[in-house]
Amino acid sequence: MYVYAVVDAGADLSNVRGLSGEPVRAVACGGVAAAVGDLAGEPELTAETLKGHDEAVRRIAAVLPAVLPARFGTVLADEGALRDALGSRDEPLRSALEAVRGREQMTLRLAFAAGAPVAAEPAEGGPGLRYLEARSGTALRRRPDVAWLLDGMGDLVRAERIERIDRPPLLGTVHHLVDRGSGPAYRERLDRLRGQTPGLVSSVTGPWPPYAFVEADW
Amino acid sequence: MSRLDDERRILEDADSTLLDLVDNVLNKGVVVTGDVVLSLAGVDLVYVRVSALLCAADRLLPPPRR
Repeated sequence: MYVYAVVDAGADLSNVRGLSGEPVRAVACGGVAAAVGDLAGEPELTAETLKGHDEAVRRIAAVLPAVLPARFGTVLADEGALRDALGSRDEPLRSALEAVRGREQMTLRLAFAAGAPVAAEPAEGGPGLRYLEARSGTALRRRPDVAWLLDGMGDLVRAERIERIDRPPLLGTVHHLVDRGSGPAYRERLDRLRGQTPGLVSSVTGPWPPYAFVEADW
Repeated sequence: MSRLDDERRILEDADSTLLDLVDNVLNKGVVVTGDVVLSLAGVDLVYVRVSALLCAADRLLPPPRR
């Protein structure tokens, strides 16, 4: 049994097909359900199966307003194993479903441009706090050019997750939760704003199912 | 071409979709721990992660068969 996503209890997935064209069904697990399919074997990790997983999640998202994508490669023995795995996580999964309802993800990667001065990240607090912040996305978020760019996207963004990548010139990855259908507006805004931040290089992909927002701890 | 230039070029490349596919599908999403853990065909996930960040997914993964 292969898991594609966590969805609302009672979700109707008739006519949705999975990775190998198999029917996808919703298995109730307390206050949520898991969208699963029966695969003949375990999927191998290839570009094709990763795409297949994502496409199946997208087909599920096309018929349901709230979908929490499962990580690739989740195989369970049976429905009992699924209930054991998800049963105790009812509450957080339901909050996360509410948070992504009617929304999707855009992913923005940031790097500093060739020849651009490496702007210092403004520091606050003592050395301990600075150390922790330097490892998180907080310091990156405070870089003046990054802050200006992301603030300018603010009204389109319902939630933001930042992963710092400490490997120059890569600065980090920003995942934005946006309303479904607002991808074109997001790209248009970004195109306009990034023309004014010559020190930054950015690349955007999406819309994606909300892979980076499966926990509602933000 | 230096590593920095290489990474910048890849980042500027219009199609970074495969990179984000790998990162989203392998590194994000709900983790459901079960009885059976899928063996990822011997692929080192740390390597996948680093490679994904460096946008080298096209070199790591075989091209899609059409």
